[in-house]
Amino acid sequence: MDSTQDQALSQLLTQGISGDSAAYTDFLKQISVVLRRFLSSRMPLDLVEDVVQDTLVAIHKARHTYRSENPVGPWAYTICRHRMIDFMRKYRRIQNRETPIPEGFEFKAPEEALKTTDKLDSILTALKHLPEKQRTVIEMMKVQGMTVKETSAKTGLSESAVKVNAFRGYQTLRRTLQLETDGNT
Amino acid sequence: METPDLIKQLSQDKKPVQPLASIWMRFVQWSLIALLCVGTAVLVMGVRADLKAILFTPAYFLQLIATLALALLSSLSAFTLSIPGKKSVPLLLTTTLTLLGWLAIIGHFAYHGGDYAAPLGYVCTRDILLMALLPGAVLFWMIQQGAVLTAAIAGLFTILSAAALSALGVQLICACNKPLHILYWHFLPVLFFGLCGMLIGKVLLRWKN
Repeated sequence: MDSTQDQALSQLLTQGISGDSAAYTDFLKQISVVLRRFLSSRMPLDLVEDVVQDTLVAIHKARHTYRSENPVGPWAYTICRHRMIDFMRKYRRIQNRETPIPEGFEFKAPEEALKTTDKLDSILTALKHLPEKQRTVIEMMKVQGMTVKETSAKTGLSESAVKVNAFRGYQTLRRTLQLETDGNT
Repeated sequence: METPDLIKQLSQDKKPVQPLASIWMRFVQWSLIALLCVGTAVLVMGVRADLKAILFTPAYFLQLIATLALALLSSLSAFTLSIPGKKSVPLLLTTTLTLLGWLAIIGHFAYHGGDYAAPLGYVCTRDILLMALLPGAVLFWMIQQGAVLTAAIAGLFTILSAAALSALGVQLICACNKPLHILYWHFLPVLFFGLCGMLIGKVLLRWKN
């Protein structure tokens, strides 16, 4: 980010902080482009948009810590780098937790097994509320037991898109089920 | 949710935001509050009788300066860590060197004075803890107002600052000049409280994003 762009962003953010919603929208639009460029060279491209969104929320929550006499760049990049590290740590943890299904493994009526627990209804309801792509991918991989490759072939999505959709779907499911559990206790 | 939708949603929050005061302003505010707290505690507990005589002896004076510098630099470090993008590494290094400097002063006077006695001083450690409570709580609250990205380190410097300042107060009360007493009952507790601050910081300063 050059100093001219930094000054422009600084002005927009300062106006946004003082309540100018149009300036704030412009700032968020422009900074999201900058962040996308920053992240593209540092992490898998499929995940960039998630971190951009995460960072935008973080920037919004931290906007009171910005002072107009300081450049926007270091402030925004620091928040972004921190969100990226956090996101990748979480992402890798989830990836590591997944166990590949051995070839030839037969699924014995998973619905039957799940019926014994109270969670089935909640999971199915939460699954229904997922965006179509995420729901389809999760159903194919977790209910029908398809591999990433098979899911990719069947849906026409790239393998990495399948993984990203599954990851996002798991996150949403986890959040929804957690909220339900919290609500019940 | 797509990014343009998120931007739209975030922009709907039209309430003007009050920017946080500058690091220096907050640093001065906290220093005044903390000095007032510790000063009052020292006056209530009573300063050591020989303070006038001992104040400008090298061993005592250098320790006071090192402790005060550690307290102020630590709080400045904590305030810096609460603002994203502020360069904090040189400050953190200086603070760490000051901590080591305090240790070196104690070591120097213990070695050259040949005095290895270390009278017990539970009371000193207890007083350091008690005197640090209020300034520490205020500093934690002030740091929480920012956006801390490294919660454990910020917690360390927050508690280190409050503990060092109260150790300064205790040095004005405690009548024992033995270097090893200072090491075991003043320096090490300050360090220990600081390390506990890492855990407290992880819980209290974690930025809810």
